Amino acid sequence: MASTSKSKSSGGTTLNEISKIETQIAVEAQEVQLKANEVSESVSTAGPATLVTLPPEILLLIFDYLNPAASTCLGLTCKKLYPVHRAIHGIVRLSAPSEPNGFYLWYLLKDFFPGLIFCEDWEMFTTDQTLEDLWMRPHTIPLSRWPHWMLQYRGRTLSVAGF
Amino acid sequence: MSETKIQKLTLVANDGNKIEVDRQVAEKSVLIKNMLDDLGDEQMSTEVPIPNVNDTVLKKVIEWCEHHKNDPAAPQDDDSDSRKKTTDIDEWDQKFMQVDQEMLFEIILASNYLDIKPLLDVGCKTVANMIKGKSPEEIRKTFNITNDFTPEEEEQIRRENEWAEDR
Repeated sequence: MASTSKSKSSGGTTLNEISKIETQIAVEAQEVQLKANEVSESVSTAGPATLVTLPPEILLLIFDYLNPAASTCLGLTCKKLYPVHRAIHGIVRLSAPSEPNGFYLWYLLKDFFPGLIFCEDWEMFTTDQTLEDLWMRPHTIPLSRWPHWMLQYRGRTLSVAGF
Repeated sequence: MSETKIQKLTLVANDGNKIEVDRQVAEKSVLIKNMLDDLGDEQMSTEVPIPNVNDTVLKKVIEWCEHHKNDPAAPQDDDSDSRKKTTDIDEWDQKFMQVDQEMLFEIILASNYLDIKPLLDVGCKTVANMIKGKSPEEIRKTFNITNDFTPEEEEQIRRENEWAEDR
């Protein structure tokens, strides 16, 4: 296109300019057409179907097939899915088992608690230091937080440990 | 009343491709069945446009309907709870669902639109089985999900679920 218009316009500048404008118009028209295609495509299919773009009623059906632990893991993947999970299950305990491999929820979520350690007695992630205190310096931990099994050693733990 | 009952229907996918199917097969779709019931055979055109589904997906959905055409109609009672817990999928359906993810979600969307509940269930169960036992990061990788939580939002989640000690 461009080369043919150049050879024609070898004589006058006006002819050259006209052909330039012509090609420009052609390019712009093409762009408009492309954009129109894009729009119609996005209207009809809205991109490839993915899990996150499924309509809410279908997401709910999928969540329905998940136990609380699996639902938690799906909910923690992104902002759109978290409220769906919370609406169905609320707070899920970290000791909830997942299927089919039987991992506990806390094990599947351990990367979500960088630098923390899971304390089975509290069913919570906590710091190294807190756990060490619980074992080595239990008097620094309020009684209400002592695990049940530890309460029976109350007096003894302290004296044996020499505190 | 009339004996000229339509036996064959032609489904027209959104890209214009026509697929001829037995009425019995097409009626696995509650949407089409209701259309036939409402309009009656006399007024019913044998060409049924399916504007939301493309040719490839429609063919796949029809393949499922063909295989399941003699299944008893799903009980519409409210025993849904007992049905929902299990994610067992029969062998043929499992093989049928061994498709790429885009197709899997297209089948789910099409069965939802066409109102083919058992196929929708199989699709959702398949997705659920891909999620079970995985950590959030593994699920993100499987389904190409971007983690869009800010650190503050993650902290909020840890707190509101009472999963970590308040420090």
